[in-house]
Amino acid sequence: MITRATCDTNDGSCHVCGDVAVAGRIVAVDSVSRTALVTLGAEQVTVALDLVDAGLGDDVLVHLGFAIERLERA
Amino acid sequence: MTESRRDFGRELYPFLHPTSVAVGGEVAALLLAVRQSTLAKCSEVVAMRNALLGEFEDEMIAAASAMAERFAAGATLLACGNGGSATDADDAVADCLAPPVAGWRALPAVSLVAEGATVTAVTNDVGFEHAFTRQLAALARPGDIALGFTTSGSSANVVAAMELARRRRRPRASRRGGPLFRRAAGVRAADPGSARHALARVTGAGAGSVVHARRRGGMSMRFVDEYREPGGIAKLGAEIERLAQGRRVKLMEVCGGHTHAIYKHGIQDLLPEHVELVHGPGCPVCVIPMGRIDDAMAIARTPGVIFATYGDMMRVPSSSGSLLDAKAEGADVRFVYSPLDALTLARNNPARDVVFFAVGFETTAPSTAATLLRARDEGLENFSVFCNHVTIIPAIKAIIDSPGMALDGFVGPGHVATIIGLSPFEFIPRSYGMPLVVAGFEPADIMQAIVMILRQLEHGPAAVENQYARVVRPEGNRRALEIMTETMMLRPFFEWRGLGFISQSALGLRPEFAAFDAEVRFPVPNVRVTDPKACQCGEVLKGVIKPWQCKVFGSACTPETPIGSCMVSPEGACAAYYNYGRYSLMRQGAAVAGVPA
Repeated sequence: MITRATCDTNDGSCHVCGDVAVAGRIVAVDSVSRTALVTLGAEQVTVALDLVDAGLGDDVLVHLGFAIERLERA
Repeated sequence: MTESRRDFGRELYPFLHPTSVAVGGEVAALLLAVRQSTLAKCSEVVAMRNALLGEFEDEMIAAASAMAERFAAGATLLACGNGGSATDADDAVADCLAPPVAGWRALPAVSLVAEGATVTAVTNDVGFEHAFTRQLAALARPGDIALGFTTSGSSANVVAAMELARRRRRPRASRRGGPLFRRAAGVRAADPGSARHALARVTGAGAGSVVHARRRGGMSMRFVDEYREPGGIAKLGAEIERLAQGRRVKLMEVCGGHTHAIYKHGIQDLLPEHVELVHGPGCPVCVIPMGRIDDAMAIARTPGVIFATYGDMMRVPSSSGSLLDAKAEGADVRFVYSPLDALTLARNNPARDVVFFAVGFETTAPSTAATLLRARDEGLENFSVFCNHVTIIPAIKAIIDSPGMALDGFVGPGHVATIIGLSPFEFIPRSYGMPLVVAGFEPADIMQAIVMILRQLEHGPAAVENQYARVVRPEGNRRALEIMTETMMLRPFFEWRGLGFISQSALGLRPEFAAFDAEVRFPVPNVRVTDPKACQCGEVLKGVIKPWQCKVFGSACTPETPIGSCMVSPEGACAAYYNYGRYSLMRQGAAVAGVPA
C-alpha cells in the first residue's frame, strides 16, 4: 500500500546526498552544549553550533543537525 | 417533489405524515422546534469553529504546514478515531484520496478504522487501547502523518496511537502540530455548556481546515518563496532562450541536490532543446563502491556493534544484500539523522560499540569532524567512525579528463562551496576554459546560474561566479575547514563507483584519531567488488548516457530493487528520472529524435 522508494529517515530526499541545507532563525542558545534552538518552517530543531559563530536572532543554514553557515542579514 | 415520491415517503415514514388532521397544530410546533434546534446547533458549530480558529490558528497553520511538508516528501496520512470521530477520520482520508476540488492532487491516506477484522481481532485479543496501534506500528514509516480524532481528548486507543506515533517520530527535535486536536478538546472542557456533538463536528472541521490550509500552501518559507516565483522563472527562461540561440550547450550539474531539484521542478522542460543538463557524480550514495558496503556490513555484523547510518545507505546493495538485510538478519543497524545522534547512541549504550557510517562530500564532512571532536572531548571510548567522506574537486577533474566528455560549463555545488569557498573551483576556467557558477537549490537559482554560464560563454572569459551569494562566502567556512583538517586527512586514493580509483579524492581519519577510526578498531575486509555488468551507473555518473539508456533502467533496476546505486538515492540521476516520471517522456523525445532508447 505504501510505496515510497525513498530514503527512510529523511523527507524523501536524502539530506546527505542532496547536500540539503535549510535556513532558519536561532531562537535560543545553550552555551553549555554549544547548541541552539532553530526555527525551521513550522518546527523547531536543536542544532549544533560547532561550525559557526552565531547567536540569538541570527539566521543559519542547517545541515544534518549542524549549522554550517551564518547568513548575512538582508 | 413529485407525487410518486411523496407517496413513497408516506409509505415508508408514516409517522411523519399523521393521519389525524387534529394534530396539525402539534406538527407545526414540532417543525418549529426542529427548525430552532437545527439553527441553534448550526450557530453553535459556527461559534465553536470561530473559537477554535481564534485560539488555535497558529497551531493549525503550523500543523498544516508540517503536513504539507510531509506530503510533499511522500508521506502517507494514517487516521483514526472512535464512533463519530471514526467518521471524521474516514472523511479526512476521503478528502485526501478523492479531493473535493477538481485539479487537486490526490494524497496517500489510510483510515485505520476501516479494517473491521483487524480492529475487532486486536481489541478482542489484545485490548481496546491497541485498536489502532497494531496497524499504525505495521503501516507507519518515519515521516508519515498520524491523525487522531478524539472529542474528549482521552480516548485510550486514539491516545495510545498518537503516543506510538510520537515515539516513532524521526529522531529530530520536537515538532509542533502533533497534539493539536487533543488541545482542541480543551475548548470543550473550558466551556462545559457546549455540546460534545458540536465539538465532534468542529474537530472534523478542524481537519478540513488543515487540509484546506495545506492546499492553499499556507507555508511561507523565507529564502525560498521568492526563488519559486513563476514570473521570475519565466523571465529567466526567456533570457536563456535568447542567450542560447543557435548554440548547443551541454552543462553538468555536479551536485545531486541540483539533479533532484531539476527533476522535481521540471527545469529541463523550461530550457530550449539544445541546452542540455548532464547529471554529475554529486551523490555520495551513488559514488560509493560496492566493496565499501560489504565492509560496512562486516562491521555491522560484529557482535556488540550498533551500526549507525543515514537512511539512504540502508538500501544500497553490497555483493550480498544491503544493510537492511543485515538488520533483518539480526545486526543492530540504526538510522540516524545527524552524526550527533550516533554520539547519543554511544553515550546511552556504554557497553556497546557504536560505529557511525560517515558518507558525504565537504558539506557533510565537517559535521562528522565536529562530532569526532565532541567524542574526544567527552572521552567516549565506544564511538568510532567508518569514514567514507569524499571530495568533489578530484571527481570533477576526473570527469573533465575522461574521454568523450564535451562539456561547456558547470553548475557548481552550492553547499559544498559553502564550506570550501570558491577558490578550489578556479582550476576549471583556468585549465579548461570552462565557466562554473555556484548555484543555490531553488528553481530560479538554477535558471539564473544557467543564464550566468551562457553570458560567460557569449562574452567570455570563463570564470568562477557565485550565484548563491546569499549563503556562500568566497572564502568558505574557515572554521569548518579547520575542524575538518584537524580530524581528517586525504587518503592517497579512493575508489569511486563508475569512475575508478581517483587519487587524493577521499578523507580518512588522522592517526591522532585512530581510537575513533572504525578501520583501525575493527577488522575491515577491504572487499573489492566489480560493479554489476548490467549496471551502467558509471556512464550515467559521467553523463555519457542518460539513465533511460541503461539496459536495466526501470525493468530489472527500480528504486524498490536497485541494481546500481544511482537508483537508490532520490538524488541519484536514475531515481530522479524514475520518480518524477520522466522516463516515458524521454523515450518519446528520443523516438522523435531517432536516438536509440
